Amino acid sequence: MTITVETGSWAARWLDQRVILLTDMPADATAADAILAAGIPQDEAGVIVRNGTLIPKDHRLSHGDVIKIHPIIIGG
Amino acid sequence: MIYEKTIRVLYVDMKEQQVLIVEREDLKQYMGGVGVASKLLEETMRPELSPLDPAQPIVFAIGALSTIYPVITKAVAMFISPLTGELGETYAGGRLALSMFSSGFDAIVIVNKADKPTYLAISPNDVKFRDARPLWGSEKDNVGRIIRDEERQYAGKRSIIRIGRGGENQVSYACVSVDRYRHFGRMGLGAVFGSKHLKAISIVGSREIPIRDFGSYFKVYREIYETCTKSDVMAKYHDTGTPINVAPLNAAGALPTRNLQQGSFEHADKISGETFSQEYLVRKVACSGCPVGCIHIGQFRREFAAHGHEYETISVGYDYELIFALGSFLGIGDPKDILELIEDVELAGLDAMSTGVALGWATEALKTGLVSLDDTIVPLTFGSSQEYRAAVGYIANGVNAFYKNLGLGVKHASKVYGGEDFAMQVAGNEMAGYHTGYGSLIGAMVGARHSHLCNGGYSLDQGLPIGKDVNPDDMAEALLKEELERCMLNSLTICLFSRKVYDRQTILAAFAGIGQEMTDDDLTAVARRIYAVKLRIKKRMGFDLQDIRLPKRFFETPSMHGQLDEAVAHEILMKYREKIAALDTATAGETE
Repeated sequence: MTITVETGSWAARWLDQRVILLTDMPADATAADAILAAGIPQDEAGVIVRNGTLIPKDHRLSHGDVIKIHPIIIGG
Repeated sequence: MIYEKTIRVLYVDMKEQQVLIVEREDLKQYMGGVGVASKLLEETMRPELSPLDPAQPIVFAIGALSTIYPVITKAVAMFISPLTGELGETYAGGRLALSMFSSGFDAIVIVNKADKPTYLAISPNDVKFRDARPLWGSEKDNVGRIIRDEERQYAGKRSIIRIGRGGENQVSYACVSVDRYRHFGRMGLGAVFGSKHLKAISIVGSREIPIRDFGSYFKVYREIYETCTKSDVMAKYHDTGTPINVAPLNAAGALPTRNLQQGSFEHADKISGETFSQEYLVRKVACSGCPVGCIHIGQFRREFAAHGHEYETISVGYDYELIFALGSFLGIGDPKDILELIEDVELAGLDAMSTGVALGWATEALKTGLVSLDDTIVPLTFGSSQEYRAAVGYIANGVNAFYKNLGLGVKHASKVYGGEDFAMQVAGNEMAGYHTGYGSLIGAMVGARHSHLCNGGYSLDQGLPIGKDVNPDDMAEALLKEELERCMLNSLTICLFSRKVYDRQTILAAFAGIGQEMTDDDLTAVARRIYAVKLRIKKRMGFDLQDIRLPKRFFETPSMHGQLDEAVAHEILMKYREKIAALDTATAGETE
């Protein structure tokens, strides 16, 4: 299935583009799988939003989903 | 401290203008930093007196590994907080730890009040009590410049810390500015300085200690340095810095907005870390001994004369907490307005977080009629920065009864005027910028200094699966575990940004690199010992977790994990209380 992953400038350390189209994700792919396939280290990906709703990393995605990956919340 | 068998403490009496230097072997069991400072506070505090009584102490300490390894850059200050009325604890970077190390003093204890405004000039062989009357009333940049001209010794290893009008007027959340861009921000250390007529401290030194086994040491140093500079662990702190948090917190509904009436802000994109970087960032600087450089400096232009196109360029440091407190929390969506407010708060010598949260409450109190325009003088309105800029000055100067009360903290002000349900504080300390869930909220309650930095509760929330119930016992256990670990880390005075660099294995290697064999059990024992001292201090000040009353809004505005339930929060709190009671009993024999 096809998943679109959107990021921001924070991901430039690993990615050349902010929007990545993943065209051959397995049917049971989760958000974590999409993060991995996009090339973002799991530890660096924090808040994940699909259609305006927060989803956990183990959330099963559907064909055509667009997910926005935000970085982890950092601080002391 | 390195290679020494004792902790060298400088005791300063402001009234008598006397000093005493004592080598304390007994303090070594607390390692340094917060451990040594807690013990010294416990010894010298006066629980029967008010926090701003001149007899109350101010304690500074550096850590067991200060300046020896990368990113071990902090000094700790401990005192009785005028804001919370109990344990006060705050950290600052800059050059202070290096200067204290170079001066040869591991800790400094200051008591009593000078007869006139005074600044201390501390050097390895001398402490001078200098007349600060000409500096009283001056803002921090002027004070820094004048003292730099006066104290020319050892430039580059000199640190200057000072208060502004907020501290002089004993605003309960006045800060102490450290060098150009750092602060002892929280809990009102500035007011304690003011209560002693202590305007500033200059510390210089020239001490250098050769490393005995340089090969072993440098191997460990190099590994830590490489992790700091070449891995992803610290890169985010350098790249965008903590302002990167604006976007994820906003997306998660955890960005406190308009006095936490909302958890997301419609102008979040305009005040995001990305926007600040692209539009306002001009440089990044670092504390002494840090190869990362996380201090982000923003710049804006301002017209300073009505005619003739006269402009000045202003540089201020910014980070997430400032953007939240003086931005989203006040409904301000223009980065330039936020930078201007940061500058005003800086010059007034106030803690930015407490100031923003206090103004958020004041805005709502005005809107709901609890206070009037006669009180606030200007029509405080969310999103209207010019009124807030004026109000910052009113707080610092205590211009009327309302601003005097607001200067005593939002808990106090809401007791006087009402609106306690939307006075966003925890145990007297104004909230931090994370409405992430139970970890953040209960973490602030149980944290020794009621800060998000006590146990990183927001980080625990982030690790929890969205949409699943929290286990109260697990949450209480996780908070306690992190609180203890941070007691140990803060006895080393590492910058907590680097806590993932300094895991236990690395810390033990770092000690071994300077010939000090420590075990994992030693580190655990130190953590428990320090926490036990902190708990004793709090108990002596009359603190009990059961007495904390949280504003209802924490439970009304949905967090990152949805709406929080007071009953669940209470259960976590009680679990935590049981755990520290057990800890207290278990460690009583070894710590008294």
